[in-house]
Amino acid sequence: MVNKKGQMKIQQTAFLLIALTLFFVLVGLFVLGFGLSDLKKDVSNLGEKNALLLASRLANSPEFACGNAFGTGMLDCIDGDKVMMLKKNSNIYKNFWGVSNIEIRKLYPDHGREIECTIPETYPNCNVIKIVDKDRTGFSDGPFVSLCRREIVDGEVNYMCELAKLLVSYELVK
Amino acid sequence: MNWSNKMKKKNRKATHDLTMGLNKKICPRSKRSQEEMVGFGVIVGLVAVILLIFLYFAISGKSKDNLDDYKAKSFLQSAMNYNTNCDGVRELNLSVEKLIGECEANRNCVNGLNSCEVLTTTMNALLEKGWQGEGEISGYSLNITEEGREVISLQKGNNTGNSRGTLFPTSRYGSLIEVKFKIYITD
Repeated sequence: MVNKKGQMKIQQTAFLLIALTLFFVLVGLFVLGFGLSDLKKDVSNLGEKNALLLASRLANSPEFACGNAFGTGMLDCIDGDKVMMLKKNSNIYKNFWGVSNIEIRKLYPDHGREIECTIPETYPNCNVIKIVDKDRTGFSDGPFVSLCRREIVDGEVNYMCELAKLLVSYELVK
Repeated sequence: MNWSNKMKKKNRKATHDLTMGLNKKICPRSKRSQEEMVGFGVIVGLVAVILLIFLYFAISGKSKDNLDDYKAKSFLQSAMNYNTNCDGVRELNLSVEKLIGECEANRNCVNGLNSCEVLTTTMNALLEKGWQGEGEISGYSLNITEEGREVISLQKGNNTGNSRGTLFPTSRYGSLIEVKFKIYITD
């Protein structure tokens, strides 16, 4: 009889231990859930950062950069004329950069409404150059850039640089 | 035989009861094992709590490097390259960088415009168009100085105390010109 009582108490303790362990596991899962939701946010921030860094790299890559075409070498400067030629061949470069969307959006001077740049119809009196135009999802960010082009004024070549943003879209992490 | 078996059984029970009674007094096994298990439970709980605290800090301890610095830098760089409607002696549509020098030297544009007025209007427009729609930005300020003397100072929005900034040094007619740009982040 005494032995059975002891066994019962041991069983009670064992159940208590199991309950305690379950409680801590649940608390742990709760905390981890919060942690993971923060991790998701971190992944999104990282995606945004990657978009910005990639856009910056793109702006200074030979396909986009002004180089020395507009006097001294300028950083974050995009040659508009060159990009329009790239846009013409955008099918070849569609999967080259591994992003869903690349576009250059002119900020100033402001044209009021969105006018997509096409040659010879609207360029240079337009404000959006779409280079890669897949389904747009996820982040879209990029650095400020100078969008430069050559103009002929009174028979002389003149340079015009305007304020724009190079936007790169990344896939959203679900 | 029957009686003998009964006696044997009775004796065995008495011996067992005696042994159990003695054992309980000398060495209370169930109580001791209970105490051990409670101790073990406490240790498990403590370890679990320590692990969770460690895990929490491991997850939440992330670097918070800000991208706004880079945006401010790229903005200032691009704004300096912007071609204004002020014509210079040697070239048409002077860039903002060159226009700052013209304004500082009190030289007007060849096409009759006031260089400082063009500079102020252009910078205001660039700032306005560049930073509109940037959700985290509550304001900005731009100061242009020549050898420490203020040439132009522009400010818009609220100074939240949390700012990111960049400096663009340049020279014109032998003097150092500094363009300081700050953006104020919403708390």
